[in-house]
Amino acid sequence: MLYIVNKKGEVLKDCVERLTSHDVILLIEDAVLAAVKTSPSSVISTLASDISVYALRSDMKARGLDAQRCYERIQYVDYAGFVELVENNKPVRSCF
Amino acid sequence: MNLIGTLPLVLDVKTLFFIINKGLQGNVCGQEFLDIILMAAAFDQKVVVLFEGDGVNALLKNQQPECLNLKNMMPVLDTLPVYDINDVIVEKESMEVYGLTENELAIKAAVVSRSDIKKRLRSADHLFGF
Repeated sequence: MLYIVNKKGEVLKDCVERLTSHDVILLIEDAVLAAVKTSPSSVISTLASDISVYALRSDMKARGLDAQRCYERIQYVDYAGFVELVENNKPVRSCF
Repeated sequence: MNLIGTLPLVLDVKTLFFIINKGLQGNVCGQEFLDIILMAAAFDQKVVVLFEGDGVNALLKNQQPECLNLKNMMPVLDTLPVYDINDVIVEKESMEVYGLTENELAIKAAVVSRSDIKKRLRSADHLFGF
């Protein structure tokens, strides 16, 4: 199952609490801030290793964030990659 | 040419989960979301309504949004069975967070654990939230 999250804080926390084995989470819009290692919401670091975490590259770029400041486990996708994630991880839940 | 004859008589039935995870009051989104649920059911789709997180409070009895001139959603929730929506579930863990018991809920809903809900979500065709 794919979770698309667009905010950090409570929205991200609620979503993370419901993740189970082999789920995939995609951070978009303001949620990409949670990818930063020093971010106040450290939920990404608590995720089990069988959860794949992706961040949308254009939202990172728009906010001037580079991968060096982010958790190593995070993988980056462009819009085509976004579509592939949706195709390969049904059903999709948008957490807004 | 008989165009009617070329239209499909039976719609492809999908299992649609509608997830209410926030209060229905405060903005028009909650109201619109309930409209979408009823519409999906009117098109004979298999509808499941799930209340979780803060959304469980939307089921509380004795809500009086009229005191703020807001629309009361309870009559809409009451009509769910009329639209043949009988699959209403509430997440057990979220009810515990707010200290709610089943008899405090205004409509009939099945209390289901987070892990069982997850199993059901995996079998859904589409998940909707707002």
